[in-house]
Amino acid sequence: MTQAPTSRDTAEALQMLLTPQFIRQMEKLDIASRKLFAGTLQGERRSKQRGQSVEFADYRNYVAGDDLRFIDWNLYARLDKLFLRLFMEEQDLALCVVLDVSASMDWGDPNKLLHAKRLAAALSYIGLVRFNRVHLYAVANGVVEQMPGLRGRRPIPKMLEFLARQRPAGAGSFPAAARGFALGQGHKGVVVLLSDFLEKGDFAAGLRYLAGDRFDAYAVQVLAPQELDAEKAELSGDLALRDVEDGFEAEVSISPLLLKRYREAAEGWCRHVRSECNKRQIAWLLARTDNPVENLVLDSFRRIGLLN
Amino acid sequence: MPLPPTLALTFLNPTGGLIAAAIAAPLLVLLYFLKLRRRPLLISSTLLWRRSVHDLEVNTPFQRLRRNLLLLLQLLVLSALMLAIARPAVEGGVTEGDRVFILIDRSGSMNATDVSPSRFEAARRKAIELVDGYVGRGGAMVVSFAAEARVEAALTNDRATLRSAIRNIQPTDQPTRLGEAIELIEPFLSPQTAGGEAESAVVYILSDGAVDDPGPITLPAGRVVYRRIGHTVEEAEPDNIAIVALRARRDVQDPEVADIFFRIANFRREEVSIAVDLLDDGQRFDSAVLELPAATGDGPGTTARTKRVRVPHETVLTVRLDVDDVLEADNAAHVLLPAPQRLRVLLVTRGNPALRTAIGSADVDHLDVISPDAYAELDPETLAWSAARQEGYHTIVFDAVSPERSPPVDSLFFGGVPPVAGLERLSGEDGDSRFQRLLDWDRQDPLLEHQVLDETLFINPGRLVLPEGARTLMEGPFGPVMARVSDGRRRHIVTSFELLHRGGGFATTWLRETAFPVFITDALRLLALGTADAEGIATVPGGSPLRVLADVDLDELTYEGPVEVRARVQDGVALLPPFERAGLYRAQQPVASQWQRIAVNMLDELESNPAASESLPVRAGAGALAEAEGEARREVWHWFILLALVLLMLEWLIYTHRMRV
Repeated sequence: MTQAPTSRDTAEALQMLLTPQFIRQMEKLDIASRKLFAGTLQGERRSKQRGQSVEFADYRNYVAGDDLRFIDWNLYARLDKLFLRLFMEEQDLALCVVLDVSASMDWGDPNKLLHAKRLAAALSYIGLVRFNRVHLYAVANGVVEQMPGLRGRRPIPKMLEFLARQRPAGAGSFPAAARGFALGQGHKGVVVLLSDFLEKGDFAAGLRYLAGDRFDAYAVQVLAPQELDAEKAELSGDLALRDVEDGFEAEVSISPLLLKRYREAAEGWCRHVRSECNKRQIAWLLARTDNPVENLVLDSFRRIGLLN
Repeated sequence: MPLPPTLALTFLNPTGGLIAAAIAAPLLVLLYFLKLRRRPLLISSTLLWRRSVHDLEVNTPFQRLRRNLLLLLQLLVLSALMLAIARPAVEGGVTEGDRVFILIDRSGSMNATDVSPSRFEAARRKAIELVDGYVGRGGAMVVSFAAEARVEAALTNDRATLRSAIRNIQPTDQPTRLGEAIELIEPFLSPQTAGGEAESAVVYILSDGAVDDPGPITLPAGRVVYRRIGHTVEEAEPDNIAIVALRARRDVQDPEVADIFFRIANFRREEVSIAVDLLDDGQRFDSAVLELPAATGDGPGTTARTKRVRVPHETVLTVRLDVDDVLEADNAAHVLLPAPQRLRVLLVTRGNPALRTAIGSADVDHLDVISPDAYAELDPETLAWSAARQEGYHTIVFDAVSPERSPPVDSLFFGGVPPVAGLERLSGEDGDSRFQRLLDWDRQDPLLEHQVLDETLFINPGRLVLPEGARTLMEGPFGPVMARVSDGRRRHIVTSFELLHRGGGFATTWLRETAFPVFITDALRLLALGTADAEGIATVPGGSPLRVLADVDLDELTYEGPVEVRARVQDGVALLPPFERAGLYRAQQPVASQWQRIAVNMLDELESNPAASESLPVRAGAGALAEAEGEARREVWHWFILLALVLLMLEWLIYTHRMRV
């Protein structure tokens, strides 16, 4: 069975993505979070909890039961009182990369799914090298496949393999996918949604699962240039446009006016997605597939505060 | 003033077109949406397309329809076809009806120039327009009419034939007899069924309405369309002055003096004074200015004049009006006045005082009497009248003499015959002195039309054995007793009876009757001149055929005049067809002097009237009289078919062009 052309080169492409220069540039980056989340393991991130680290935070009086290892014996010697040294707790951060693998993603030139995979790979890489817990989700009409709890450099190939393995998985539903993800995800943390958000159902209903204190969510809308401007698709004549997901047909007769209307509709949809996200404190970013991944990672993601 | 032609489009069958359009147009749109072959294309999501198309539809309904050129063209093609079905027609031209009869008036009044270039020309153009617009199946027929009607083109669908037939029609100066034309087409009018479908007949009459027929003419079927050519009194001031009567006659007492009578009619609605010239063989000898009263509702203003003039020779007298009006033919009229008669007669007899007295009383200018023996010694050829030498005789009367050689001039034989093959005189038996009455005589012959011979008695009248071609004038108890025979060159009148019997007494009571000198006078004039009148001679266009006595050797007789006239000559007689144009005609071959020139005059008040009539005395069935119809409608459905074809081609071009992209 031959693999789809979009996915055939994914592994190679992901390997190519991690060019030494790009990797070097990414080494300086870390996942940022506008919210502080409690981690489960010690990581490289300051948490609200006092815990074990080298960074001194405060003293407090000893109470029975405290770990004797943290008593400041020098102070006891001078003041004859037992004080406990408190340190800042450094914890890891949960990064959930949610990749939309619905059929609509496998479209466009450059291909949207490939582009999204590259972005996912870059973000996951950054997360892993900074010792964050990285959870990967492939969603379509619900969660298709997941790979939770990656940490450290060792699972990088595993992560790449997971991404390369993802195929278009038929019709997708954003609310169903968001619901499946939110209910199955026990950890708080940063969530990056990579999708085209071309949702015919109640798009906002899906966003509700991602709003609130549990997640610091980022919506990355991946769209092909042809989707934003149908003129680039070089359409003409009378067409029966078939939806790759639900099979519905739209009969159109291409005219300059219609193309103009389409462009306006596309822009309007993007605005709509953005405003729906912003309403719920979800950061939104448009990732055109003709915009190189390097640009997005090194520039756009930093601007919206996903990376620093 | 004639109105400019309008291009208003009317529909002869709007219901049909509407029904067809109501069915076909939605069907096409439906088919278009059902059958439109759209190129299938897989896209990520129809979400945005639906939104944009929705926008488009909300903003401008039917945008898709309007944006689609092909559908638009198809709708145009369809509407062109629908319009064609509705039978569009423009004003002007024609033609409706399965069978079309085009009757073209070519009478004298049609030469009027109130319509440029002339009414007749306009009628001819209209007729060609009718033919061009003719779309029926039954064929069209072209008939021209004036004094008599003529089928110019029989029922045919061949437009070229019809057009050339129309172009070949020539105008005349004849009166208008529409009835004859109607009679000609009547057999074709009766509704015939072809395949169970009744054919409609339309009779187009292109005329000015000046019709000479008594009473209205009724068409058994069909429809009459009177296309008036020319302006009515309301439309334009009538402008014509015409000579409507002309006669000339020599005085009985003084044959060198003649009286000319003429009447002039003024159709203008104002008094006019007009110069009238009188011409004698083309030379003006008198000129006068006449005051003519204005025309009234009752008719034209007329003035008559009589002029006494001394003309001692044969001449053509002409009356000419110096006027510029719409009709030219009635501005001059001619009359031929024969020379004062100077009969020279030779009587060959053994002595017949009664006959001699009768001849002497017959206005004979010169009479010689010789005996049969003296006649036999003369060379007959020298006896013929020679105008050059002013000697010889116009005619010879033989009394009880049968000459051995044929006489050189037309002659009268009593009790004798000329040497003509097949002609024989059988005398009555001697001793039988019973009186006989005539059984019959030819009362139609000009020679005997004044004779009453019921009581006239003949002793031993005998009988004639006649050759073929001879005409019996008197019938006795045993056979013909008087006849007109021809010896191949000359015509003679012969009788089997003698005027005196052997004893010298009268052999017939005819000699004692006053009818006898009348007979002699008529016979001499007829033989010498062919006519027995001092009246000026003129005929009218379209009159009865004219018998002309020509030289017996002639085969064909030609007259030059306004138009050339040809007639075949048989046994020295040519039958001239009715003249078509007025004017003076001259024989190109030798004929009897009074036919050397023939004057043909219109002299027709009806034809000279320049006002066209609003109605024609023609009705179809029990309908009203035919009123003048304006411009009829000409069907133009073929233009729409053509338009549909062009649009179809355009659509095909666009379609193929799109397919290539």
